[in-house]
Amino acid sequence: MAEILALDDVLDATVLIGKILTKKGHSVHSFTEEDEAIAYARTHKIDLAILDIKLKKMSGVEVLGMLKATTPEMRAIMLTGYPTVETAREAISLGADEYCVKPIDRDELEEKVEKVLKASGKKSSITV
Amino acid sequence: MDIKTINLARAKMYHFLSAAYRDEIPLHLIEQMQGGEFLDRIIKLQEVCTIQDFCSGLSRMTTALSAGTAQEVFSQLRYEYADLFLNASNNPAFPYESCYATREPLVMQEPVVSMRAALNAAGVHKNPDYFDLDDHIAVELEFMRYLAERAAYNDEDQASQFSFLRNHLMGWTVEFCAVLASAAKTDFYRGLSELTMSFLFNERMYSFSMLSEQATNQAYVTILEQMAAAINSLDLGDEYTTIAEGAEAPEKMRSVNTHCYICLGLCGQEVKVKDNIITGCKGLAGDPKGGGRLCVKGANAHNNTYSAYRLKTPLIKENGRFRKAGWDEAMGLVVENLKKIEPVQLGFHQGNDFNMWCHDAVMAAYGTPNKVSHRQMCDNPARMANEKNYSEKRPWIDYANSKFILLFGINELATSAGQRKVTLLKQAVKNGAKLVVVDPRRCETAAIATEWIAIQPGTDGAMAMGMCHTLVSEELYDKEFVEQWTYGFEAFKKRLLGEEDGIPRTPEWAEKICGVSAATIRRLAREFAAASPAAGSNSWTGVSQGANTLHAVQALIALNALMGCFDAPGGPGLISKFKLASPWADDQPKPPNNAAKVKLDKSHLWSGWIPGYFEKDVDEGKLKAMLCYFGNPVMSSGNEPSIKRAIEKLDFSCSIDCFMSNTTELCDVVLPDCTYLEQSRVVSDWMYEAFLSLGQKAITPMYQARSIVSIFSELARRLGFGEYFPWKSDEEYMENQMRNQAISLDDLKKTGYYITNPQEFYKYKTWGSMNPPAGYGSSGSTKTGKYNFINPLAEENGVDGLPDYKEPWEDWPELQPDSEYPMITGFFRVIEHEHTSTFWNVALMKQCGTNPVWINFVDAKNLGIVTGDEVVISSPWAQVKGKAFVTWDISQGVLAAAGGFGHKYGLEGDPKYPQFKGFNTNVLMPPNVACKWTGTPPLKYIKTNIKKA
Repeated sequence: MAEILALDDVLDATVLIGKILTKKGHSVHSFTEEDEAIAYARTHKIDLAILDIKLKKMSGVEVLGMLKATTPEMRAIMLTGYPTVETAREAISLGADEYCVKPIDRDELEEKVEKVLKASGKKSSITV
Repeated sequence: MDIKTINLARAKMYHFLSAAYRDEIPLHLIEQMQGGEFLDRIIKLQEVCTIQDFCSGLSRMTTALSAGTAQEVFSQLRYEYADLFLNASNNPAFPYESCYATREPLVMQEPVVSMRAALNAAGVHKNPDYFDLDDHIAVELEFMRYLAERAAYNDEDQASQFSFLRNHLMGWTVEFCAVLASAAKTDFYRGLSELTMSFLFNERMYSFSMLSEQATNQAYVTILEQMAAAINSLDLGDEYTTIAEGAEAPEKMRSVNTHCYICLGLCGQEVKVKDNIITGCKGLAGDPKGGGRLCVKGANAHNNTYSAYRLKTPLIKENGRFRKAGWDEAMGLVVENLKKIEPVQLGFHQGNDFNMWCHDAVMAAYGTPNKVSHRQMCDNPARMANEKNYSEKRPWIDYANSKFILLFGINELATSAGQRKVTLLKQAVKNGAKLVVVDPRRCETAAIATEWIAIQPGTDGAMAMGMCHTLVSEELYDKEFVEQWTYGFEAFKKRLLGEEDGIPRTPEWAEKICGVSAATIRRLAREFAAASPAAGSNSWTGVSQGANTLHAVQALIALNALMGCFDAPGGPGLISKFKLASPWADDQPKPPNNAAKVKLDKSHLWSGWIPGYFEKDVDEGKLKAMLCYFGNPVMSSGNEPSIKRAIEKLDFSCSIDCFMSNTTELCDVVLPDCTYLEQSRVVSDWMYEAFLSLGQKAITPMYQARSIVSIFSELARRLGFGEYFPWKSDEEYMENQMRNQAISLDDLKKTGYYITNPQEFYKYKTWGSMNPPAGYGSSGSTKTGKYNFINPLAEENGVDGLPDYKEPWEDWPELQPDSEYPMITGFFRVIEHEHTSTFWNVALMKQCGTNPVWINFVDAKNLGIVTGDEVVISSPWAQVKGKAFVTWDISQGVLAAAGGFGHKYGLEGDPKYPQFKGFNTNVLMPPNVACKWTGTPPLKYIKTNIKKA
């Protein structure tokens, strides 16, 4: 089972992610503050980060860039209420594996988490 | 709006988007979108629209549509469509779900299977008349239109459309839209990407509200209402274009026995096909060439076919950019231009020889004598030596029985020509055979060899002459064979002993030239003699692509003749392929040969078109046009900038290819070719046995690609020779070719191969000649029936025909290294790639996606270079940049990098994949040079220096 970091500026969202994925046997570490999440990732093994694009101080894409710089093999799923083509380009280029659109759909989240954690779910690096 | 009206409005939106992606935007649609009701409604919608990307998308699209007259906009969008969706540019936006499952440029992957299942479950299938693939965005969008309309008219449960929306479309369109926005150069397609993404996200939200029976977002309903009204003013037609009614059950898994044609090895291949999708390739058990094995290229051959970079339709260049064309228009333009020039002014360059009998016959009927294959840039020195001195260009050694194997510049473990041979070589070494590899680089074969001889480039002839001198002066040679089966020995002996010019070719003489000690040369000669006749010496491009190497090949092959090794167990074999019959049946008229009996270029032994002189020939007005079949002369035939200039200066050029390349980009017309897995042929082949080898079509041609026989038959018809190319199917000409064989085509299809003659030794004793008997073929013939130490053609032409070492710069003083350019640069082959033809195959690029330049540790230390450093390699003619790989496994003074790299298209050229990038050593060459003897450019003998960048 995987170590999952969830970062969203809305506490309820991180709670919901935690509930859904803990039931699937994963360890979910939830954060609403970017600094705390980044600090945690520096000292702990993270298999997957689930990051909202809209955060308090930074964008989720920036956080993704920082986490990938220290842990390139980490998988990532971006969350967004309303994605734009530009944020999608940035996130993909930084190595986000999947996009999830809010409101979070339980089945979709479970399916995407399972997919990106599989070795066969690994996607090639692409720059757009 | 009620649900039915909303569903119909949604269907309109899907219809519009599908139409925008499925093909070029037609002129009439642009005219309609530029004004009138459509634009009025869009402008009104923009005033009230609160969904940011939707508005932005509409705004960009309308701005682009207003940027000129309808015709001007139409032209711009045609070029953009070709660039984005037909792979005319280096940065396409692949419109297929398959490409986003792994973010790799591969089509026909698992999403196609699930897409077909979804279509099938809904009672429809992809319209076979639509030229593109099942998981194309236009098909998925039109399928959503179908589901929305069905929901509207039949009051059906909407769960199925929302399931498809979320599980297919939403799973990949975010990435597709991001890629499209990044790649698009016009606002129209950037806007379309924003509009698509925004619409689909709102569709997702709509699906949630419908499934949870909550109220629909009113802002979205307003947008739908306005958009539907605007789209209604357009003439999109009511019919479905990309899908058709009726479920189609998937075809069952089947096996197709064929032969790999990624390289000329032609290893037997079993291709698994399910529902017309190739699912994998493996070795064909028992096949004489592959021995049931495939290399990494053969195992990934279907990834060439399924590369997302494939050319899909004919392309015509207009105002410097490509646009889509129909076959009729494109072929018409080709023929119009061929008729404008004299046939002698056309150069036909074939990189591929699939069903060569057909395209050669068409070109001969047209009347051009200027046909060229890759032989000049490959191994023409070896061919001009071996095909005249005896009967075969490449005397493969019988490794299974060999005791001493001497390879000059052949990296068998990485080169082509049969995986069975590679296996036998490895087994021979394991069983104690001595393998000696002569190569400036410790290649893969040298790494398993008993001895690696790190020779200086271009000096193989000296070492071989030193060995021959030992065999003759110590009287170790096979006197009986030499007396009975060779011609010119006494003259050769005189040269070896220095009786002609006072320079005996002793091992000591050789040592000073090649850097290999005299003791080693003498010892190897004695060991070769002791192992003979179970011994063989052979070479390939490592020698031939040096400079001035005809005589060197003669010298190293002469070792076999001196020791009577030909056709002995363990020696180099003589070839006897059981010939096929003519593709023309007895009652079918054969085309005339109208080719003028003139030669474009001449060397001492080779006459014909020498592509190394391409620019010179164009400048002198000798060539006005080029037809190129799956070749890449720009990257491979000589100095790259010079060949590029040559094609640019032509009046007309056309390329038939599967991919856009450094060559096709320069052409006026590009025709989409099939890969070998989409077309058929039968060939007579040889490894140790003689056998028939079937190249059997595994799948129907993709997109609008056509087989080479159909393309050239059509060309012939338009040139007025149609009656001579009458075949209705592949089967018809193959059955003609097999009418003299003991096996039928149907039976050959089941097995894939058929051995006509088992392996035999000393065949020449039975034949009474080194030439095979009537009915059997090989690539050359000896006019004396014996092995000729004196090349008969050279003798006829009054030039030196004896084996020897010639200085590489003897004919080209500018090639001689000097203090400013002291290093010799060349390229080498890697197992992952075949020439320049595999760089669109992501599976192979992931295995080998860049080509660092090898430099000796001592050289690197002196220059302050370490592995990974950016370096600049300079010659008097050009500079290239690369990365250094510092190693002991290359001789001092030598630089080398893997060949085939340096593409402007495919994975190397695509900015989406910056991890794949290399350079072409041919850029460094001097322009307009070719061997004075054989026409081969000195690709592996370029004087250079290297510096840290």
